[in-house]
Amino acid sequence: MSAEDNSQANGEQIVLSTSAFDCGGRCPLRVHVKDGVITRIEGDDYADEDKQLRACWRGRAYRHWIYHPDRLLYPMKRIGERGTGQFERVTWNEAMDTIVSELNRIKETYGNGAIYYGGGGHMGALHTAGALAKALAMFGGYTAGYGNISSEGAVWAVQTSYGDVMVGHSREDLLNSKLIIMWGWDPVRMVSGTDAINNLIKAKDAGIPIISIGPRYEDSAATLAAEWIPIIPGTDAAMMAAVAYVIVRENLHDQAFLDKYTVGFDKFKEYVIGIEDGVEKTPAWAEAICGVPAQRIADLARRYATTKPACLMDCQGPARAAFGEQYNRCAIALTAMTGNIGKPGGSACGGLMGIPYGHMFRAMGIPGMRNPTEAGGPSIRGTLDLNLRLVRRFHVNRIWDGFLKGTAGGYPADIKMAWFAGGNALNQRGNTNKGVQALKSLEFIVNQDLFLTPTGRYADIVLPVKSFAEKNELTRPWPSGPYLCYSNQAIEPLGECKTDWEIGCLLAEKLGFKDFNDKTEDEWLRTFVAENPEYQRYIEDYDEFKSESTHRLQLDEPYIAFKAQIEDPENNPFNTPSGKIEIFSQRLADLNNPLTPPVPKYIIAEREDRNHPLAKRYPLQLLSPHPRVRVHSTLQNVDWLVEVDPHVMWINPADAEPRGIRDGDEVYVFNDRGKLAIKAWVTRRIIPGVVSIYEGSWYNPDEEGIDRGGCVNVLTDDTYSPGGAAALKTVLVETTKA
Amino acid sequence: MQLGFYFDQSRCTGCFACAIACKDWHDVPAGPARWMRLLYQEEGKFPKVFVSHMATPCYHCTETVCAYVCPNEAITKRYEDGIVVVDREKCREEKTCGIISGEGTDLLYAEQEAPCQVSCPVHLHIPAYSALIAKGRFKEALDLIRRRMPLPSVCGRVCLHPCETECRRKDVEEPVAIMDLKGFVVDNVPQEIPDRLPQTQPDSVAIVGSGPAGLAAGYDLIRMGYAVTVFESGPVAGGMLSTAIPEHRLPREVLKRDIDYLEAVGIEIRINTRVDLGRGLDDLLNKGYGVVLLALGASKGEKLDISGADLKGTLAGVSFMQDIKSGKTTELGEKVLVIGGGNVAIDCARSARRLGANTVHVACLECREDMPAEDSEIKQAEEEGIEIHCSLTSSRVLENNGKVAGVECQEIEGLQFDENGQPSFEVVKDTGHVFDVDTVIFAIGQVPDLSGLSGDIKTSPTGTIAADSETFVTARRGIFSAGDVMNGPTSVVDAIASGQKAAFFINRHLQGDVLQVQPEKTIDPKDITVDIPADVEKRPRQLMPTLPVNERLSSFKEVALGFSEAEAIKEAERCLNCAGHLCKDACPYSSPQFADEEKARMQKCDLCIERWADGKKPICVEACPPHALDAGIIDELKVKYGEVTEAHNFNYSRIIQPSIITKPKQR
Ligand SMILES: Cc1cc2nc3c(=O)[nH]c(=O)nc-3n(C[C@H](O)[C@H](O)[C@H](O)COP(=O)(O)OP(=O)(O)OC[C@H]3O[C@@H](n4cnc5c(N)ncnc54)[C@H](O)[C@@H]3O)c2cc1C
Ligand code: SF4
Ligand code: SF4
Repeated sequence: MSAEDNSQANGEQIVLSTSAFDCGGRCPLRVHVKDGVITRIEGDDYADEDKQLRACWRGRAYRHWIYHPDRLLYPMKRIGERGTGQFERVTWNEAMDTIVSELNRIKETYGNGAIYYGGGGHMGALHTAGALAKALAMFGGYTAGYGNISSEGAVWAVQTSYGDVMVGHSREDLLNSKLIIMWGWDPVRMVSGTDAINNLIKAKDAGIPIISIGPRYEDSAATLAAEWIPIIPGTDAAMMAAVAYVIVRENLHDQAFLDKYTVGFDKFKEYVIGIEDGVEKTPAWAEAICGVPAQRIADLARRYATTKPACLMDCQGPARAAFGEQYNRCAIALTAMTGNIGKPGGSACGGLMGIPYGHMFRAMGIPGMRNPTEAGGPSIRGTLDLNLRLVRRFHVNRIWDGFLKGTAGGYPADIKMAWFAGGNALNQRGNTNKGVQALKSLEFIVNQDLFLTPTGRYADIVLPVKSFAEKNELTRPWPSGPYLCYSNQAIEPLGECKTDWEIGCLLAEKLGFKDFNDKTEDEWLRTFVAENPEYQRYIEDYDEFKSESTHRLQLDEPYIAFKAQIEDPENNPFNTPSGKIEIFSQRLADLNNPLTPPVPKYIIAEREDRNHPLAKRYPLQLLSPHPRVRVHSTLQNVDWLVEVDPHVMWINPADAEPRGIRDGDEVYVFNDRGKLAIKAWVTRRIIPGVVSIYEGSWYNPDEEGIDRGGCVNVLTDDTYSPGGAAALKTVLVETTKA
Repeated sequence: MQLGFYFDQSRCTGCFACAIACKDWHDVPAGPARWMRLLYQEEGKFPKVFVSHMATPCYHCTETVCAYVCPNEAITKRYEDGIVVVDREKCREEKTCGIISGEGTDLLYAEQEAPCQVSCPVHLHIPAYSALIAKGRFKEALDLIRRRMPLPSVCGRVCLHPCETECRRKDVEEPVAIMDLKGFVVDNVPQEIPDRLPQTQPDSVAIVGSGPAGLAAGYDLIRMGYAVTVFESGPVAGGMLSTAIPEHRLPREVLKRDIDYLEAVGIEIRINTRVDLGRGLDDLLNKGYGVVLLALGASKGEKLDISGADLKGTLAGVSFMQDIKSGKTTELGEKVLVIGGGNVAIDCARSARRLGANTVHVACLECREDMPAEDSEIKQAEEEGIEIHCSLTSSRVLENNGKVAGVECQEIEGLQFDENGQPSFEVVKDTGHVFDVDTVIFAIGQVPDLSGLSGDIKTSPTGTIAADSETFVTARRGIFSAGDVMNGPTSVVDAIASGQKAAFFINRHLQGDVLQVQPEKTIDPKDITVDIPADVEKRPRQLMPTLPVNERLSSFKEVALGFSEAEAIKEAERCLNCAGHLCKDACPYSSPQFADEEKARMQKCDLCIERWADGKKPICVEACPPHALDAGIIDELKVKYGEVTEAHNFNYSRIIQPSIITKPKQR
């Protein structure tokens, strides 16, 4: 154990640590340890209270997660049917020997392509599954997934328009705005930046009007917004097109800005005013689609266009839909039309919100190795053509179908074995019941995690993993810092837990790769700090950094995305083929696919939309937002969290009453893919016609196949949008009293 | 010095970081004990929703009611910083608190009520108010009673007190005089005029009928923030309380005291205003009232369907009582028979005596033990020379010259009532008997007067309004009913409870919520185990002093004279405090918490005492991501945060000053 703060009179030490969840924050935690046991947690004690990075409730409940009675402490092997959860303890040796012999067998029988590998969950530099990927690559390779479940639509949109993912502003820049529009953004729940909520509250206190648009009256809206505009899910792009229509018709757009910094506005305008397809995208047209009164749309458009600077905040949730990327692209078009890009108090949109200081995307890792199974594939660098990306990989939201159908179904490989390094894929990908079939079809499955997750229940070998209290690690915030963190080890590992990195090294050793790892934990972390340009710039002394734990970067002024490009366009072109913001994308035009049009558009989802014939049977749209008291499926069953926000389905009284559903009633929610049981929360905070169940609750089917755990993915589909977004919010269901 | 909290409702996001940090710091397991709790409020119809939160730790009040009620003196307020602390060793070290067990129910410990409280239709905090009275804290007791009781003076006198029937002191000797204690408190605490409550909701509610049901609904609705107008056809508010219950039991000025209070908090009562039950209802809805509550009572007296029932000299009980109250002259003979065994019958009989009747008989179907009238009423009636005859049916009124000349009765056996309250029995042969009377008063029940009722509001076969038994909504949305007009003749406290339930559902309706709720967890008071300590001394119930009989008969003076202070304290001390958590019941914010596994060891916010010593603020304050919380010396907090109001939800008490200031959320 190392790096402790002032040791206290009662023999208690305070270890400075941080969370490392796949969440929207990164919170400093002052962990009290006595006799090797964590006794309590305090938060950031930075002298300037206003700038403290205060942990959210999830971080506060950390102790009951680390010491959860269900923690996996030893390697285990399956002894019962897949899914029944019957396991027996084995030694690390036996576990790894079994894995190695299966790897060898599968490789010999089917080739390396038959091995699927995927990870997720721990957000750090060293103790990730990187070493494992490298060992498997050295072993001859594996098949991987493409994309991420959370933000693929937003990523595709910013790549199209800006060629850059750092599209955020420092959070304190919100205070420079004159109008903030949260369009599908709920920072209170998802914590988009540990400092986001405090800055938003300050903005509200400063009298900056905040408007919230979304199907749910979310916690952020309830706290911050002076106005809530409920909207039917999946129709944001239609409303945005109408906003653009009003702006264009009333000549409120910033033509000079558009001329100077963008390409293709005229094409977008042609779409909006109906020259392209004969349909004027009027507020009345949009009202019929999105349910927002035309007058409100027009008012919003005028207000947004005439208030300068105005900050339109889109996010990633609404983009997890059939044509989700169009939402982010439309938002970018709007912020360009109003000339708010690159300016204090404005926004670049694009949903990713990151700033290039201490950002998680720029974390170091152990040097990787090219995956041999992907050699000879098409070049995918910078491509907007999703099909190219899926030549050698499975889309992450399509792995189950891929496992079941293999090359015969047009997928890149016939998978026989899967290694899930965390991630809880069964629970966290669309169509869990298909996932069960897919996992049952495999010959061998390895899973490592802190708990025996629903995915783990189908594995042949499960390996126990350390929590972040049990290791030293470099962590970083997402999406907005700016700060860098060193999370100190607080306690000795529980049971026989290892980190993902240690497991990777162990595998390499078992596979006979000599000299795979030549550094200790501390040596690696020192190397990362020494070699990463950002640490080089901000960290003078490693040991000081380690004992300081959270190192704030002092910026001269708040970071504004694309400020350089706007202030000095000659010398700072955008990273797009045209060097400008691409409202019209020639690369997309070249693809010649009506579903990825060169200008942003509202495209009617042919799938499970309100207007789809299936809505006769399943009349309710289903949302599956990020949970409030979990981080995806992490922190499941932490009692302190469960009791403050039990897992429920949101339903409007207008939908509940005719179904005889009372608040607190147990209900079934179902469609052709599955059926789950959950308690109803009857609330006026959701638009009628829509129900909402937070993702991440653990799949727990009963004998009849009804999921008693309330895992929303038994209802979602394993499909993706043309831009690659997991289309988890284009789903229809029905609900009845249980 | 007083330490306390500041809470900014407009900053709180409802995230619970405070509550979890508190649990972590104090190592409180998951479960019902949550020192820092969060109240959640969702108001308004979609899409105009308004959501607010209020974190509620202990308020470290200036007057520590929790400490006053604790039989073990486990709770103390520290002089040096005003922090209210609990000594968890002392808490429950003696068996004088929490001797109750709800085993076999799924109620949490802290949800378990004493048998008396369970049987009170409005669930008054009886053990806690008894404890306050025992300590001489009468004002605080009244505050606590008013929390759920709109008519304390009335219910301190004429309540049928089902609570006393279940009081477990009866297993030692006799039940505690629960009703009289309430009457004592309200009579002896000088009435202050409360502040008018602010209207915070956009809607107004029209209540037709100012009886206990209507007033109770009004009291709750006004506290929820609605504007309330009560329409009363008669010249005085109060329903049966003002028009029928005789002066010797409920003097006018006593009733007026309660009504004055209700008017002061903001209920507008329009007397002499009959609401037409047909078009008049549409008018009210069109005039901007969001809801109409029909609390019309059951005022039409019934007579038996026997020969001679319409002769001169026969009267209907309620009309008789109403005539007396309103000062009309009644034609009463010398010899009176009252038919009926309930309170109305006894009231008629006792009033007849006071009006000069020489012989007064009461004849009823029930046997003595089953008479619905109050025991004490029957006893007092007998003291006044009234003869009670049980198990009799009246078959005929005899006539002489078109006037009553007697009543023929027979003995009965095997009496039973069906679900509509219709009796069945067998007449015992050859038991005919004639009462030689010149006046017959029928006191056999009342039905509502629903003439002109709009056709879309359905009625039941027994002549009451047919409303949903769960939600009190009538066949027409937006029109609710409560009290005797819906349930037939009941009692004051049942009418109050009914009005309160109606208010609850009216609120849901106005907020655009689904009306139905999960059924409440209920428990039969008989199933509650009370572990009475073996060493409880036998101490008889304090008898209510009454007016001497001779003085009674010459006037309508109130018969009950009320307890003296010493008698009240003595009587209150008899309460066994069956329910533990007296502290929680007494606390206006329910701050004391009980983890179920530890039964009754109280825990609550101690303002993180030990952290102040290190120069740190409480952990909840430090944890709050949006900086919604602060703590410090309360006077300094007031200076620092300026515009603040007292904690919500308790503006009807003037005694307890919470050490927390809030900045309410703007609507
Ligand atoms: C003589 C007598 C003695 C009683 N003694 C007791 C007792 O000791 N203890 C006990 O608990 N209970 C007693 N009760 C019963 C108790 O009084 C009633 O159960 C209770 O008052 C019912 O309350 P309520 O609000 O439903 O109706 P009510 O008290 O009847 O009030 C209804 C009111 O609505 C008004 N109203 C009706 N129609 C209209 C209209 N169209 N427009 C405007 N106003 C209208 C009426 O004028 C009346 O004031 C007694 C009843 C009687 C008759
Ligand atoms: S002051 Fe301390 S004990 Fe009280 S609610 Fe806050 S954290 Fe809990
Ligand atoms: S921590 Fe703060 S914001 Fe969160 S619930 Fe508590 S008071 Fe509200």
